[in-house]
Amino acid sequence: MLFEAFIQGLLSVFSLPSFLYMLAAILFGLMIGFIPGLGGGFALAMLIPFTFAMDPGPALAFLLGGHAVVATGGSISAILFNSPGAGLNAATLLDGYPMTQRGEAGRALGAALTSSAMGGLFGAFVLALMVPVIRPVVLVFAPPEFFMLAMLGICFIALMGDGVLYKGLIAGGIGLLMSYVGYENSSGIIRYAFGQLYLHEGISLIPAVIGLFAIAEMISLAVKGGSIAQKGTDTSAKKGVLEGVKDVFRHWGLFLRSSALGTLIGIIPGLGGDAAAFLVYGQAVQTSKDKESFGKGNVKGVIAPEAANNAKEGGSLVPTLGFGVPGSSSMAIVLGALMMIGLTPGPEMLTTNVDIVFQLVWTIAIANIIGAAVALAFAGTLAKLTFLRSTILVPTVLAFSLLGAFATHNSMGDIVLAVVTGLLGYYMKNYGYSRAVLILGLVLGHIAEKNLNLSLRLFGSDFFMRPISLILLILIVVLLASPTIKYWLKRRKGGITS
Amino acid sequence: MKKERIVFAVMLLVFFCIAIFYAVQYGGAAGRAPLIVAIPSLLLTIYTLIVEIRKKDLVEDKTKNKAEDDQESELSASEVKRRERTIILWILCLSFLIYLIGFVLAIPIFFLLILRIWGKEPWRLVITQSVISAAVIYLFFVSLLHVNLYEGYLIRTFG
Repeated sequence: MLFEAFIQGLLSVFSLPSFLYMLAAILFGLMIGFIPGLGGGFALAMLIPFTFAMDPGPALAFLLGGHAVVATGGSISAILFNSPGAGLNAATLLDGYPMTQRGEAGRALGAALTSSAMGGLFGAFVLALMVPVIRPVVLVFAPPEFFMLAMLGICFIALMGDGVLYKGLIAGGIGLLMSYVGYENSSGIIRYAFGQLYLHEGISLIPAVIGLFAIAEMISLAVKGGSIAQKGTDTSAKKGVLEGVKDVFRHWGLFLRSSALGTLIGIIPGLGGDAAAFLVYGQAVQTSKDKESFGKGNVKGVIAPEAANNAKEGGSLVPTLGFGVPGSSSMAIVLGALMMIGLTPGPEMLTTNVDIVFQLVWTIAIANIIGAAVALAFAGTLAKLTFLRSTILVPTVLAFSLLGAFATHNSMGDIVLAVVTGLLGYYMKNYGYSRAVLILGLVLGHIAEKNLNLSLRLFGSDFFMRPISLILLILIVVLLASPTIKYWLKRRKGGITS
Repeated sequence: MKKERIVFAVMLLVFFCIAIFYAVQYGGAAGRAPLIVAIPSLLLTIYTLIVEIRKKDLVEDKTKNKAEDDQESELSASEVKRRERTIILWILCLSFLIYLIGFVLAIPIFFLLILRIWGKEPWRLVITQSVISAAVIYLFFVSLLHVNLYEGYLIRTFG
C-alpha cells in the first residue's frame, strides 16, 4: 500500500495542471528568495490566495514548489552581495561572499545550488522513510534537549570566531544581549526597549543581518573603490560553476552529515532554520582540518549550510503532517493552507491520505532539482554582477537592502536597525570583532534562555541528566576541551616546544 | 587607528555597563540570562581595552582581509575618513528621504543624486537607472507583490 501511494504521489506531481502550477511557483519562489527580507513565509502568503480555486493536488504542488526553492534563491544574493535572502541564508555568506571577493562567485554559486538541490532531495527522502516511524523521534525532544542543542551552538561561538578569541566572545555577548531585547517569556517583563514600541517584539534577524553584512560591506566597498570581485581574478564564471558542482561531490561526507543534521533539526519543532544553518556551519568548522580557512572563503562553509537549509524543509514537514505541530513559521502557514483545502494534518494524514504525503515528498524533491537547474543556468551571468564598479553597485545594494529590511515587517524601525547595525558591522569588521559570532548569539540567545527557564520549571535543576541532554552535555564538554587536549597532545609529541 | 580602536572598546564597555545596570533592575528570571552574558563580556572588554591601549600603533589586526588592507593602505588615513563620512552621510540621506517621501519616490531621487554627485556617472546612466528603479519598485513591489511600502511622512500628513 505504501509503495502504491509512493508511485501515486509521483504521478500526481507530473499530472498536467499540478506540474505547470509548480513550475510557475518555482520561478516565483526563486525570485522571492533572491530579494533580501522577503523569505519563505512571505512567498507562501503571496501564493495562498491563488490556491482558492484549485483542487488539493495542484494547490499543494503550487505552494510547496514555491516554498521549497526560496532558500535556493536566497543563497544567490547572500553569495553575490553579502545580503541573505532570508535568515536561513545568513550562514552561507560567511564563506560565500569572501569567495565572491576572490572572483570565485561562480564556484560558490555552483556549490550552493548543487548542495541546496541535493539537500532538498535528502530531506524529501528522509521524510518518505520517516512516515511510518515519526512519533517516537519527535517526542524524544523536550526543553532540556533544546537548551542543550542551543548551548552546543553557543559553544561554537567560542571556537569558530574569525578573529582573536576574546573579541569573538565579546561579539557573541553583544549578539546574546541583542536577543534579550523585548518581552521575556516567563515574566512578561519588557527588557532593553527604552520606551520604543518597535523594540517590544525584539530585534529582527533579517534587518540586523542586512545591516551587519550588506550595508557594512557596501561602506567598505565605497571606501576602497573598485568592485566586489578584486581586479585580476578569474572571470570565467561558467567554469567556476562547474567547479562548485564538483566541490559538493568532493566533500560528499560533509554534505551527507550536514543534510542529516539539517533534516533532524527540521524534524524538531522550535529550533528553526536560522539556527539549523549556523549549527551545521559550526559542525563543518569543527570537523574540518583547515578550521582557520573558514570565514575566508572555504567552499565547505557554503556546502554545509546550504545542504542543511533545504534538507530541513523535508524534515520540518514531518511534525507538521504527523502531529499538526508546525516546525517553523513557514510550516505554520503550510498547516493553515492544508486545512484550508480540506486536509487535516495529524496521525490520520499518515494513514488515510498517505498518497498526498508522498505527493508533498515528490514536490519538494522535484522542485529542488528544477529550482537549482534554473538558478544554475543563470549563475554565470549573475556572477558577472560582482565585477560592476562600486559607484553603481553601492547605491543599488544600499537602496534594495533598506527596502528588504523594511519588507521584513513593514516597519520603519527595521530601516533604523539596518542602518545602526550597518555602522556597527563596519567598525566591527575594521577592528577585528567577528560579525558572524554576533549573529549566532542573536539567533541562539532567545532559544537558549526560553528553554532553560522551561527546563528548570518542568524538570528541576537536574534537567540535564535526561539521556539525550546528557549526551549533548558530554559533547559540549568535549568540544570546549578539544583545543586544550589537541595542544597538550601536540606538546607531548614534541610539536610545540615552548 | 589605535585611537579609534580604543574609542570603540570604550563604547562597548559603556554598552555592557548599561546592560548590567538594567539586568539588575529586572531581577529574577528576566535578569538572569542578561547578567550571565553581560558580566563576562564586560570583563573581556576591559581586557580588550588594556590590550588596545598597550598595543603599538599601526599594528593591523590579523583578521582583516589582506588584499583589502593592501588597497586601503594606498589611501591616506584622512582620505579613508573622508570617504567613510561621505558614504555614511549618503546612507543617512537615503533613510531620511524614505522617511520623508516614501520608497517609491525616495529611491529614484536617491539614485539621481548619488550616481551624479558621488559616482560622477554620465547623465544617461543616471536617468536610466533612476527610471528603472522606480519602475521595478512600483511594478514589482507595489503592483505585483502588493507590499505595503511606506508612503512617507509628507504624503501621510498632507496627502
